[in-house]
Formats: sequence, C-alpha cells, structure tokens
Amino acid sequence: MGEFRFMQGNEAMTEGAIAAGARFYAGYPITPSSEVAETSSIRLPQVGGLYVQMEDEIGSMAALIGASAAGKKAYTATSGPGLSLMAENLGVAVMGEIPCVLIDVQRSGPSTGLATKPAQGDVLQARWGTHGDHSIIVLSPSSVQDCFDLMVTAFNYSEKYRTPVIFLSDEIIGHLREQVILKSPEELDIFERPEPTGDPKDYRPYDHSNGLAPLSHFGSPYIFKVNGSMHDEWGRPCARPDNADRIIRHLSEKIEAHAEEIAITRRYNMDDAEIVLICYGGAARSALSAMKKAREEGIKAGVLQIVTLWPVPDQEIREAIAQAKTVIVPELNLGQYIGEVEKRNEKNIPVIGVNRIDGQPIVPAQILAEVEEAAK
Amino acid sequence: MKTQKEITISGVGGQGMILCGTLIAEAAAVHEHKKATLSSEYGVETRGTFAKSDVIVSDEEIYFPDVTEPDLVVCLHQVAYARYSGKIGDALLLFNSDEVAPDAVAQGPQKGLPITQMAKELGNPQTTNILTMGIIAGLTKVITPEGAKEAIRKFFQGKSDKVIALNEKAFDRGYEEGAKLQEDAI
Repeated sequence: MGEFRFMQGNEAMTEGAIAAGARFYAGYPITPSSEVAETSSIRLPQVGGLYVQMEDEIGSMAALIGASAAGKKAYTATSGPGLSLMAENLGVAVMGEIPCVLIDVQRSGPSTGLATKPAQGDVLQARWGTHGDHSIIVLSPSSVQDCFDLMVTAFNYSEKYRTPVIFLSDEIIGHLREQVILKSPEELDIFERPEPTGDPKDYRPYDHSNGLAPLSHFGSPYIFKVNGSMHDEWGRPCARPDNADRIIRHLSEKIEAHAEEIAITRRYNMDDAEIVLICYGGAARSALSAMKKAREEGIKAGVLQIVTLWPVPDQEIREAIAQAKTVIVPELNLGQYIGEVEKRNEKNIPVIGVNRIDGQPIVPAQILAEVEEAAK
Repeated sequence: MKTQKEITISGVGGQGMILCGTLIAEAAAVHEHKKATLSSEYGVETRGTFAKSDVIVSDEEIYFPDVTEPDLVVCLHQVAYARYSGKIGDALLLFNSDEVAPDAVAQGPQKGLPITQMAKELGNPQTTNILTMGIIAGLTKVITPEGAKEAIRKFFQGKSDKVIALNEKAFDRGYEEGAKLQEDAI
C-alpha cells in the first residue's frame, strides 16, 4: 500500500528518485526547480544518500557522472540556464554511456528570461542540447503523481539503456500541489544495474555486440575508463573511422531501436475522436480541460498525451493522425514538438499550433476556441 | 452544472497566500477526500509584488489547475484588488479593508473585513493568513474546521503549543466571520 500525500511536483520528484534507488544528488539550486534541491538535501541523508551543493551546473553534471561511475544512481535538477551549462558534460555522459537523471523544470527563456514563469521552451534543447549525433530519452510529467511514478521510470530507462535521461518538467507541474500516492517498494519495479561477470581481464565496457555491456563501478575489479573522446570497446582512445562509425550508430540505435518499448503515451476519448489534441507536460492539463468542455458541447475531441517526448512515439502519433480530421498541438513555446507531428502528417490534414510564450499557462478557452473552429 | 469550487487568494509576496491556499487544498484532499489542487503565481521578488494562489476543490478530476471561473477571490493588498475588482463577474470579492481602499462604485459583490486588525487583536499580525483560511472555510465550506485544524497542526508540527493554539484560534476567529458572511449572503 502506498502513502497518500498532498505535495508539490518538485517534492514528489525527490521522493520518486529515492524510491527508484537514487542516493546521490549534486546541483545548484535554480527557480523553479529549487524545491528538488531543498527536499533532496533533507531526504537523501535520511536514507544513507549524499546531497552535494555544487559551485555551478557544470560541476554538478560532472559530479553526477562520477557518482554514477562509482555505482550510485544519481540525479540533479535545474532549469533552462542550468541546462545550458550542463549540456557539455551531458555529452560526456552520453559518450561514456553513464546512467543519470537530469531534471529540467522549464521556465521562460531564453537566458534568465522570466525566472518564475512557466514555459516549454527546452523541448528541442533536451533532444539536441549537447552536440554531436546521439539519442536521448526525455520524459514529460503532467501531474504530481507523474513526478513520482515517472521518476522511477526515468531511472529504470537510464540504467537499462545506459544513458542520461532528461526529466523535462515545467513550472506548472513543478510547483503544482495535489494528491499523490507514494508507492511502496513492493509496488515498484526497479531496474538494477547488472554487474559484469567472468574474468575481469576480459571486461569490455563498450563492447555491445551481445546487447548492452554491463557497466561496472569504480573500485571493482572490472576496470573501465570513461572517455569523452572516441574510444574502443575497452574505453581506450581510438580514432579509427570504422570505430567512430560503430560508436555513433550505437549511441543512436541503442535507444531508437527500442523507441516503441520506451514510448509512453496516454489516450483520452480517442476512440471516436476527430479533433485530436497532441500535448505534453503542463499544457496537457489545459488540453484535457478543453477536451472535456468540447465533449460537453458534443464535439468529438480527444487527447493524445505524449509522455515520452524523445524518442518520438512514432506509431501513436501516426495512428492519431490517421483517425483525425484536425490535429491541434498546444505548447508553451512557438511550436517545438509540432514539427514531429508534421513530419508524420502524410495525410496532409490541418495541424494547428496553439502557442503561448508570455509566461502564462495556456488557458483551456484558447484551445477550446481552436477546437470549436475546427469542428465547424 | 459546476461541481467544483474555485478560489483565488491574492496579495503581494510575503503575505502567506501560498501557505493559506496549500493548507485549504491539503485539508480538502487529505481530510475531506476530495480532489484538490493548489497552483501559484509569483514574481522574481520574494516580497512586495503581486502574488496569488489558486485553490480548486472538486469531486471530479481537476485538469487545468488555475482558477478560470472563480467562486471567491480574496484580495489582501491593493495591487491584487486592482487586478480583480470589476473583472470577476458575480463571484464574491473579499478584501482586507486594512490594506485595500475599495473602488467608490464597485462592480459585482464585494465585502471588506479588517483582517489585519483581527489578527492583531489575536496577538500576532502574522496569523493573517490562517485567519484568512478560516474566513474562506466559513464562507465556502470547502473544508471542515476539523480537517483544517489537522492540516494546521501538521504544518506547525514541532512548534510550541502556544503557536499551534494561536493559529487554531486564528482559524476559529476567521471561520466565525466567514460563516457570518455566508449567512448575510443568504
């Protein structure tokens, strides 16, 4: 049985991380994510974990990589300005295939922007913020319950696919307070990092010819090197063209080939929906509200909520387009995810963005107006 | 048919609106077993500029957590009053008359209460937010005094008995005023 609580999204992320087995946090507090740092600093020592207040976000991300390489599940929380600083070492985690979870509670940007106001402007930065070809997993919560549940999923994906996962929240959900059930350990499936077996001399941490190689931890006899430069199966520098080709394809394929398995979407009133709202995060709350009102007016509206933003739930979006007359994509940006919908719009139906960038949430009436227009 | 209550508590940063709203929503969710949300808006300044918290209590799932069709708007400061007065239709605007000079001709139902003065009479002006919580509970009945007090006790856990008793008293004082307002409305 879980524990029924009334709490803030940011707080529930901390609880979710701890439930997932995370025992290390390094970060630099920033609005609107600071409560993750605050609650982590209290909760982690209670469960034998460690909270480190770092000098900045560059150091935070570096500490995460170190802690994870030492065998601990590690996480940090930041907002747009911090995400930019973390981008460099995020690349090291991608290249070194080091599991870790980076929470971004999005606020209005660019730069310091509107520190206390919501936005969803980091959707593409989460995907491509660190340079070079790679894939990454990005999850988007839309409730305080999600902040707990999906945080467990984020760690599981991170460990399973040996990749950083970005937990892309926003100010609306981060600061929202509502009921949540903190599930007990026996209700949760936790993926634990497999330890290598066999002769330590033969351990090759980047040999993925038989599925992902298990990641050892520093201090174990299975020695491994973490290298941001191109490396061979052992982690030693290697500039051979065929090796570079293999590594880059692997960094992409190890995630993209499992996109359907990683994809999480939610369908609301989709069975007969002709007008489909494709949405995520805080804006999903506005979309669901608009859908409910549209249904009361007799309009066949449905919602496809995207929880796994990256890799893109290709099949689910294609199916939604196949049944829809119109697709509406509400986003707290100028249209960052709508491009993914348009790419799959072979039917060439109207795909309409409802966008807001003034630091205010999209009110349901804005979306409803578009739904009513489309229903005419 | 509207099945949910929407309440905005507004003022300037530092007046405790978020705590007031949180305790109402928490009492509704934990003690009354209703659906409840609390969302807030504030500026980069921690004190002195417009801030609000939106409480929604419902029997059904709450999707959009900001107040769009208010039943009650509480304004604890002139800045907040200026934002809402005349713009909330038939919803009641309740203001702190110690902080707000109302419009000479107000549109829609409005009512002032000397909340700061009432808090001072209780011995501590810092109880304004819990007093406001009491007024809202007495007026709207979204939460019961029992549930409210449990939420208050949980929040002040670890503080002295005196502090807890003072805040419970502040709630009761507010509840009494809120209940009177409700009777007036009927």
